Amino acid sequence: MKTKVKVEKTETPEPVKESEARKAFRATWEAYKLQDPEKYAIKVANGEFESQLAQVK
Amino acid sequence: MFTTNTIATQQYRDKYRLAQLDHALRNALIAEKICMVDRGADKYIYSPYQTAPTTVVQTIIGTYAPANSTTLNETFTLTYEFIVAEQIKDFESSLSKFDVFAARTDDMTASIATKIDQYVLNAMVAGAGTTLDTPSGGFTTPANTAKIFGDICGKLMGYADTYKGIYCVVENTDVTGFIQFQGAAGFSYADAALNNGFMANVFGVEVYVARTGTFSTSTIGEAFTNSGHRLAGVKGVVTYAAPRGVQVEEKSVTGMTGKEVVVFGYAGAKVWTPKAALTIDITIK
Repeated sequence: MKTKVKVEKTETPEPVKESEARKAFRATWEAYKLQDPEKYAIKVANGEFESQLAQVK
Repeated sequence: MFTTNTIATQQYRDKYRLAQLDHALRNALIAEKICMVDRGADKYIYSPYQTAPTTVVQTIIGTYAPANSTTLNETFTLTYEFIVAEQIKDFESSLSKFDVFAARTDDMTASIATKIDQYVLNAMVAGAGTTLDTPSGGFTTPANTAKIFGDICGKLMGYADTYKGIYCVVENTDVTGFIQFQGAAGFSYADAALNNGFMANVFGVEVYVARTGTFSTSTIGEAFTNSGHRLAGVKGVVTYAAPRGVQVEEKSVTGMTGKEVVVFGYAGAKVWTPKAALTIDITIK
């Protein structure tokens, strides 16, 4: 006997557009990565990127 | 009944508060007070340095093992120029009660000076050789003030250069913690025992206040990731080069009356490797 499996459609949420301030923030960190890779790695490892990003709207 | 209500606006007396156009609020400049300032018109500043020798203390025997000494090169290259350019049309100056030209160039000069100051402070944080994490809450928590300043002193004292004095640069949003700490500390603690002044000096450390946003994650010539950071260190060990200060050029340009005004300055800062430990990058937790 066949059982009908109800497949629910799940809507994939549209990606949230990032604000200009956040884009600029990421660009600055990328530039910093090229400028000082050693300190960049330390700062990222310390969670500083994430904590600063949380402050940027 | 007769009432007089037809006075023209041009009849009233006017008074101008200042002889010059008023300025927008300006930020305090700090870099010159805490750095060694170099006004020489040089593109490069060289500072070779040697590795530290090690003295051996031994029971008298008359023999030794010589070590190699190494001399290293260090160069400060002046890379950035800070520049503002505007056109001041003739009617703006000629038909005004004020000297628009002078007021504007003065404002432009202040703008350059402020940006240079922000660059230097951020470059000092970026080049700092010592790090310090504040307790949770940072400077805004009054109870943290004593510990932070104790930690700053602990990181710097004992070096020969420390006699030049210790400074700490915070942002105005941190001030609330300082004031509450000093108020709670009372006279005998703040003034007599510790020889403090109002904000200016905490435990012998000179406190400078910059406006919020001075320490930032942004590109000021180079990329800085200093949001949430503050600065401390020994005075006069970082070189701040500003050859010829801020200069002004006026040009007559085609198609417009008046003058094109360009205000510019060259500036840079260098935390030298042998003294890098005397500059502290403070991270607010």
